[in-house]
Amino acid sequence: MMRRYGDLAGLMLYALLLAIAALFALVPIVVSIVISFDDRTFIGPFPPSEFSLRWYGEFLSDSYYHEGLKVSLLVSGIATAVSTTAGVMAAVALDRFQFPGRNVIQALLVSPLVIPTVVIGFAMLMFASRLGIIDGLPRLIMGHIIITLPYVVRTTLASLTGIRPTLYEAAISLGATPLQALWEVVLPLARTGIFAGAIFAFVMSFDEVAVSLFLSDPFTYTLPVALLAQMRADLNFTVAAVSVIFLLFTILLIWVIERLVGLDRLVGQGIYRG
Amino acid sequence: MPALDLQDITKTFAEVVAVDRASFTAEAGEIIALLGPSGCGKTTTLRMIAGFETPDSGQILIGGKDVARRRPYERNIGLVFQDYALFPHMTVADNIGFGMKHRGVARGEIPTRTADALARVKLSGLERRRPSQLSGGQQQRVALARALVTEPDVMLLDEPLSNLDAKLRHQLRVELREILSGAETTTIIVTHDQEEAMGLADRIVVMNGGKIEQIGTPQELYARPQTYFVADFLGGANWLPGRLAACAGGRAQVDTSVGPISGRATAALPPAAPVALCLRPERLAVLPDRAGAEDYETLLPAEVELVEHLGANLRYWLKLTSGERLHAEAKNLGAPLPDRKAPVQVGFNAEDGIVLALPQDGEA
Amino acid sequence: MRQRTLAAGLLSPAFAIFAVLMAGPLAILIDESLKPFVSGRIGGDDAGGLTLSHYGELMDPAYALYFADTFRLGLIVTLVGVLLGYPVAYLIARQAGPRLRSALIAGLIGMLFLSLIVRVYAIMMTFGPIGPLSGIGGLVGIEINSRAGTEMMVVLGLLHTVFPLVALTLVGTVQNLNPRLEDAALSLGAPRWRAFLAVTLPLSVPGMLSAGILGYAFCISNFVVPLILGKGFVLFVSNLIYFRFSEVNNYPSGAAISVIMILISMILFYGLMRLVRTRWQETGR
Repeated sequence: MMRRYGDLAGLMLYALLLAIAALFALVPIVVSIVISFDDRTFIGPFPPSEFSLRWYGEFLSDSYYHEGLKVSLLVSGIATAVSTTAGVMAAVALDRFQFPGRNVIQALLVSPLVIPTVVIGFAMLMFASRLGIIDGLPRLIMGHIIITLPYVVRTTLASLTGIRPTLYEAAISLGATPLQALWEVVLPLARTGIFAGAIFAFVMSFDEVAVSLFLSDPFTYTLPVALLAQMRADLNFTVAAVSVIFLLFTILLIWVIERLVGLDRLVGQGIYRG
Repeated sequence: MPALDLQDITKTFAEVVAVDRASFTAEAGEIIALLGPSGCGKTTTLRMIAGFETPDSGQILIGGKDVARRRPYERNIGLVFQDYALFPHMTVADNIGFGMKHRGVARGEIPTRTADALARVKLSGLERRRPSQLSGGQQQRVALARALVTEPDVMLLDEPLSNLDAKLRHQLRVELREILSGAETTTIIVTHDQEEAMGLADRIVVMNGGKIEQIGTPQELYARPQTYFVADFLGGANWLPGRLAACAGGRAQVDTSVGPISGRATAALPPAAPVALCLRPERLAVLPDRAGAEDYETLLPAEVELVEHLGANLRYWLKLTSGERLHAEAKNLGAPLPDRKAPVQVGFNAEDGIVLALPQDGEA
Repeated sequence: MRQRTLAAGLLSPAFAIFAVLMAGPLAILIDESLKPFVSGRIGGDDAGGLTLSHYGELMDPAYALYFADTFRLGLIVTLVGVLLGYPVAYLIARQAGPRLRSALIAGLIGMLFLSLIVRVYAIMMTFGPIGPLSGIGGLVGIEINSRAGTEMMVVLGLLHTVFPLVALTLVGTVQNLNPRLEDAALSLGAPRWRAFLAVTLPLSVPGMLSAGILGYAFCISNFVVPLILGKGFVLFVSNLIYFRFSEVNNYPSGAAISVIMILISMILFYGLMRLVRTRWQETGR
């Protein structure tokens, strides 16, 4: 009988923790969504009594945010493109070839993940100043390239390791040179991993605040920086509206990834399943 | 000039000698099997012929030319991998066309040669399929067609049948032999399955611990093994250990725990060496009573421990008076089977037993 | 060897990026941290010699508060994160059917992708004074407007950030545990909870430690959460760096603090993680 109670207690604890986790994860999101429709111009208690779309309107009409959005898309887009190209090439080299120092180089390329982004932003700022680069846009691009590169290298490598080495060898034995074998056989098979890595990199770059804070200038700033300034200055619900828009975008992105890559594949099945 | 010539090939990985001074040749059109347990060096040897590994010393000549400098894509080889390695993102036709494309075959020729190759492996019409839509046996044949279509100097097959289930394996073995003979290409097959080697190959190279133990046709290896390992690895074997009493003119006498027994000697044996007599199960006659005893030179009294009724065959597990155990095999011809613990006589002749030196360092 | 040149060629763009955009700035950072600070000047004084004073002054108790807050709160977040993350990971790895699994993983990745700004704002609105869950502090005896209340907000903010990361990492851990082991325990007579405590949980420990270290590293380097939710009372080392730069223009000091943070992060990632991996011989991975 003790066993049954033990099992029951365990189960209840499990369920309780799950409930707390779920609540904790979801409630803030829900609250944000609701607040974004709050019609009041003052900060009143939750839940709001009147609803409207005014904050969405504010966001959509305010050029301050538009500027930020434009810069964010540009910076993250360029940075992701550069990182993906360089990162995929590097991952292929690290996966397929043996050479001394391979592990060290791999660790180095992934190392920016280890460094706090504040530090990266700060260091990059001083570096850019020394080089005489004072314009915000190139600085931002530089900073975002270095923070996106590790993601691409990591995910591409993970994807490449899953490709059977015999496929590459088969291509070579049939007369393809290493470069041809990589381009015609290995890379197409790693396509989904590369794509996932690029998306991941883009999102992380888009979200990045600390680096952008250091590297922006009064004329060139990213959207998160704009929102941050807004939040510190005067708390209004425009941020909520933007939050919801971001949320929708995130959901869309997840859906796209699921269709194209399959989220299960990203996390993997582990060695005991399937 | 042999189509393939390996001379004194050695390869060491870290501290382990994977291949130790291996030498053999293959004539044009011959099918050679590299046979041995895992870790014996057969796969390493294959990879060196293909060019994925470089030998530390020795030479590899394909068609008389030293290929040491050449990368795999510069040697004219055809490789069939154990997992077939069909490109999953390409159709069957593209898979087969891959080698031709990279070896410079004219664009216009590729479709006809592809169709031809598929016909040879009895898979006509499957050009548009993807590898994931094919069965294991079909995948294997596509892999074969892909390698053959480039008309390689040497075909290399790595455990071609091990991924298939037993029934399919037997069927495909015959087909494989037909396809390979029909193509008249020199072929090297790596396998750990002795039945596979004996069924497919013209000659077998038996390897153990990096060294070549013996090279010969299946018959030669089975009937006249020169080492303990070869006798034990190919086919079933019973071993009666003892000391060499006398050895002359191909005949040897061994003092065993059940008395002196005569057998054949296939290799030179040092005097008074520790040896063992190898008795093939199918050569041992199990006689329930004295009937037929006069046909045999040696008769050993034994007790039946177990009779396995395996359908077409019967397997007897017998215990000799000295405690040694033997197993014998006979065709099931419907005769009544002896009971457990029944006393029988095990009969055989001198030519049924092979006397071989026991390996020194506990490899037995 | 032709292979080597191809490999080198493929590696060169990434390596060039690394050299220019990582090694370069880091070198400048270290260099700057050793320069003396001249107030009113932007950046360190080039004329003066090298000095370790900026590192030295970090020993001062005034700074200790920042470090202490950072490490202490980070630890709390990590512990709660693993506590909440593990059941979710277990659910996904062992019990969820394929559809629920997809949905949950999608949810976690969604949380991961969620903009930090959105997160912080949502936490502020939900748990803050005007929010529906503002009473949460009351449950554990914390007054919302006190320092403890602010700390709680920071913890909640960090937790929301780090939770999906920890949970997803743990999914990998639990997936690589042989489910047959728990079954074996059950067949030997142990009730579910016993089997879990005796078999599954101990085997999960290396994974939990890894996920924890990962989460902790992200916590202590977080910038936005303490900046907004800390309301100026609770500040992390990352914020300190920023203020050194933006308010006091004391670049050398900011650089010195940055170097210290890098070292701490490296110890966490390369030191502790490796320790966990080798000491506990994780199954699978």
